Amino acid sequence: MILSVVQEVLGYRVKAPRIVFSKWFSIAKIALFILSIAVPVVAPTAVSLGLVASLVILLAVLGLRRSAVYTVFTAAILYLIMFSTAFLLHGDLERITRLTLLASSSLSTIILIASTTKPSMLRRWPTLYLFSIVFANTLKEVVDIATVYRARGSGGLRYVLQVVVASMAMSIARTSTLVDSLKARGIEVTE
Amino acid sequence: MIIETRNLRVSFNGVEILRDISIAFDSGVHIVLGRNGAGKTTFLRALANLVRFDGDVLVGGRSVKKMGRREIAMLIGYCWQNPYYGFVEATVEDEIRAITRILGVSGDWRIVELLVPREYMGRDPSTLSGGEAKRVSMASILVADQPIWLLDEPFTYLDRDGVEAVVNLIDYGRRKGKTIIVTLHEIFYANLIKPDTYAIIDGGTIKFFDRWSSLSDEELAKAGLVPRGVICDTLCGPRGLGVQS
Repeated sequence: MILSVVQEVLGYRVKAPRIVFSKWFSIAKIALFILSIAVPVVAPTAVSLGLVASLVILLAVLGLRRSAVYTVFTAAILYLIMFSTAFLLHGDLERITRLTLLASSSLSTIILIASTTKPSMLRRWPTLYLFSIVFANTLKEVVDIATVYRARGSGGLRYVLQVVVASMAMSIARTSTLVDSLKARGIEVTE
Repeated sequence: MIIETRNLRVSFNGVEILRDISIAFDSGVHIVLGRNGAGKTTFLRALANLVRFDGDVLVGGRSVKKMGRREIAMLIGYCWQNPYYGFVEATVEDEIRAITRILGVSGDWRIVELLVPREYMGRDPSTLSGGEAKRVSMASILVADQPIWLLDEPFTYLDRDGVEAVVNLIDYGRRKGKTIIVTLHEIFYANLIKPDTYAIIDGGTIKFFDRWSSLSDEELAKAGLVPRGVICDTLCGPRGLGVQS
């Protein structure tokens, strides 16, 4: 499921309406990111829940439906695991709820930022620019490498580990070639 | 504009890739030939100051070591071999416009017209086919209209239309007085672009450097390249393509 979310996020940057790449939308995204961390930590649970619900609806309205479903799905799984563990070990259930809401709200804003931020918007900050390029390139290759492992019959935890290890190796190898690409365009980046 | 090397040496992890290369290229088209792993790509990367090297590379009499990255990118257009390795933007249009915005130049959009069909512009570069990606990758650098072009194996991935586009591009660059250095590992495409000179790299040094008309099959064979005679025998002989026996 995560691979289809990655494809949706990367594909969205090509077909998204222009407004999501505007300066005002960028400011709103930064504000949302700060809120997504601050609200679940300090505000009452109901308010945090309202924020998460709004963010999920926003993703769905923007056309990122798979991402919205993924956020809800992972939140449910995370809450189920953490709640049952805390229940069995007599842990703090309210803190578990807050943590789950924090994870869900930050995940949805990260998805929102990743899908509505083109690398060109970060060109003024070479290191951030390189990071966003390496990130996007690695995600694209993760999708390819996952297909290769699946075609070879890999599955289960082994498949996940193979993809994770290959992705990390790829991002390191890819950084140097992308640095060359930026240098050829006149941007000095220190590796 | 003249680009020249003086005692150029490049080593990676103690292994010498290029040894003591001193050569100069003026306006026109120049082919650098060499077998796989001969050091052609490293040579181009050194010219563009993308690898550490000893010796010097001079552009218009000035050392690239004393130039900033932006200045080098204004003078030298370096196009890498694998197009997918260099994509940095979300759409083809952004990819092509990136260098003009970074360098603050209007660019020469005739170069883009020659290489990239309009319908590619809204696409994600990573979804392009090999040949499409190669065209976009080259256009994304050369649009800045630098006086020196370094083209690393520009014909890989290309179909007939793509080869024709690159040949037209090189011809356009020649007419604009650019210094164009093209690396190739086989001679077939060299004949299409009618270079002024050729250089053969082997074992990290320039073995031959002369006018294109002087190139002999013996030199090609010595450097581990397929001689023209073999290509002709295969394509034009009795068993060749399009010839009825």
